[in-house]
Amino acid sequence: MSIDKKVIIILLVSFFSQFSFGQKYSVHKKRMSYLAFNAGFNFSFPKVSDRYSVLNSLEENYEKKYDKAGKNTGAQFGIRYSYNFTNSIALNLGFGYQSLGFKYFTDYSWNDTINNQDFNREMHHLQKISYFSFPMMVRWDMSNRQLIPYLQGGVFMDFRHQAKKEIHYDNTIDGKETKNEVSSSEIKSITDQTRKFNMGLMAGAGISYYTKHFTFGVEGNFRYGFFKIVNDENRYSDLTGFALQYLDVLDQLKLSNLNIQFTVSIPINHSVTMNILRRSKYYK
Amino acid sequence: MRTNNISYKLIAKFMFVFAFVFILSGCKDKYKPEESFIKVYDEKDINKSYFPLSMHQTSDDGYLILSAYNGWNIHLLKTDKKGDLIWKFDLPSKYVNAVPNLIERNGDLFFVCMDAVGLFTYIMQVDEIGKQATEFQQIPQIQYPMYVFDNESEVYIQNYIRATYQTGIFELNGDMDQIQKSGTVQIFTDVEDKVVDHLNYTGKRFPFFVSVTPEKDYIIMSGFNNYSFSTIFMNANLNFSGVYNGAAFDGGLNALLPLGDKTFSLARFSFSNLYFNPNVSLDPSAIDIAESIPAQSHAELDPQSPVLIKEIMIDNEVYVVYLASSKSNQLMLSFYPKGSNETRAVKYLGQSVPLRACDFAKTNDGGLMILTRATVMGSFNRIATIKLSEEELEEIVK
Repeated sequence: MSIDKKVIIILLVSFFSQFSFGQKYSVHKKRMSYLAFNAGFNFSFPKVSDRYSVLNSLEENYEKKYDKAGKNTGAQFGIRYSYNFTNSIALNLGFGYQSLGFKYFTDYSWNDTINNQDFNREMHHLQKISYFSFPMMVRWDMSNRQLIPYLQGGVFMDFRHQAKKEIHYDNTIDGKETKNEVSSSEIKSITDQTRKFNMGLMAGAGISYYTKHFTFGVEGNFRYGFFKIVNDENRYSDLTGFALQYLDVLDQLKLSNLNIQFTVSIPINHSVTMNILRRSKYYK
Repeated sequence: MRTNNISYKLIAKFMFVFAFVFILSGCKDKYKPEESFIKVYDEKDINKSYFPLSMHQTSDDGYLILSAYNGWNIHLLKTDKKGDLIWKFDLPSKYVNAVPNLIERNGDLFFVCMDAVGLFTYIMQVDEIGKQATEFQQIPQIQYPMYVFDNESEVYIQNYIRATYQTGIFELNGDMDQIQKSGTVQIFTDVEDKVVDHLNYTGKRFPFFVSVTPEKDYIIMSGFNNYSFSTIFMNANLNFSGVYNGAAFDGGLNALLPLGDKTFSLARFSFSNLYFNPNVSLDPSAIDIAESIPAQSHAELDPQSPVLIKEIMIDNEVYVVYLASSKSNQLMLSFYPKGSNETRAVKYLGQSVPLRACDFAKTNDGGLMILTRATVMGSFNRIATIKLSEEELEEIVK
């Protein structure tokens, strides 16, 4: 991570910490449970370990060019149960559904040496893999004011639900979809080509604002999947689909992602009567 | 306090499930990517058109592929066991008209081709280290070679004798340096234009073949005979024994696999229709017409494309396997238990890209390797391979 990024993170944490010191109430949530609803979007980071291609040549390698994370978008939503062991340490157990996207493009060119007219084909490949996700994280709240920045980290398990793929293609090799030429394949399932299970580590930061009845928050988490996501045994099993028609076969890769999500949580064991929010002077 | 107990129990259960799945997931991690694949061997020149002819697995578990390109020119291609290209070689232009099949002798691979000017036969040896092919034998007596069959002890070459309008068959010894026997049948008409179209890939490609019964008492060849495209039975001395005549040049047999005891698996064509019979008795001394052989019609298949029939063991059961091309340009694999007329399984390969059957073989790892011609982008004819794993094969016939 560059120094600039570190400085920005420190400034943000400091900013929110300062903000929270000025709150009217402090939050008392030791031994309290919350149920949170979260939804947001994510950006994926494919990390290729083995490359595969249908076309084979001595003169050229046919490596796919992967899009940057900003274009690899997806979405997620879910619920999570959180139990506060102390006012600052909590355990989050969740269940969610997330769709991870990643894109790459390939280009091919053939030369007509007689008529001096080349044939080009550029293909943009869009993949979406959806998982049922079970995260488990420990959260550390950095203050006890109404606006609380926090850090969290833990593990997750993902169970694949489905995977789909679509290809957009045109005849101009320029790295982007040429609007007046582009055509699309049908959307096809690549569920069998992806592995059923993944798990990994996740860590992130966020900020919550506590009221008596609701807590609102926004957080970002980076999720690193341990396992490769493509099923090697079924890589070429799609004998009637994309492999020959679009000369496409998936590389082997790991898929990490950064998610940004908004949360709304409610205390589930009598928060009002238990007086979560107390004026700061009494709490002292 | 009670609420806390419930929370602790819930958390404990969740963590237990997590730990269990963590451990379980670490146990299964098997990757065997080389067991199945699809490869298309690319060539940048749009004007280069390939026609794969034959394929053979090499001692390093790779594959050697013999092809024709731009008509009768010869191309060799070597892959590793994952189907990735290792080397390729275009033979000098004096060597033309490679004929199916590749021959293996003591670990070396050979093929038969023709001199572009003298029309006589060469036996070429593949030099895998030098990544080329070199002349092994010249056979001036054999002009217009059409097909070669390796019986592992003898080699048979079928040819067209232009001077006398005859189809010839020559038996070479195992070392392929001597002609041991020869035989001929009369065509009674000049078919050189058909032969030239066949050799140059400019017209109909006739399904020439040579085969030998397991008892080695008959040599069967499909070729020109008596104004037609016929299947001729020759005895062990290469003398005429019997014939199944085609409907002039628009009918006959595409492929034949002798099963022993005068039973055969065969594919025959009649004009635009293709027929299979995986278990039929033929009389080697009969003089009959091919259309009299009972067979089941496969209207969806293309009779102009090669049909291949091989005996393959899958999951400890012997199958007669047909590879053919459909009129909609798919490949079709048909599996029949040996000795049965009942289809056990049919598998179509390909969909939008035109594929044409060229060769197939069981691989050392129990899978099935298919050599095909793929028309990439609907325009360029390229050599392609489709490898099915042993598990996929077993799944098909299950």
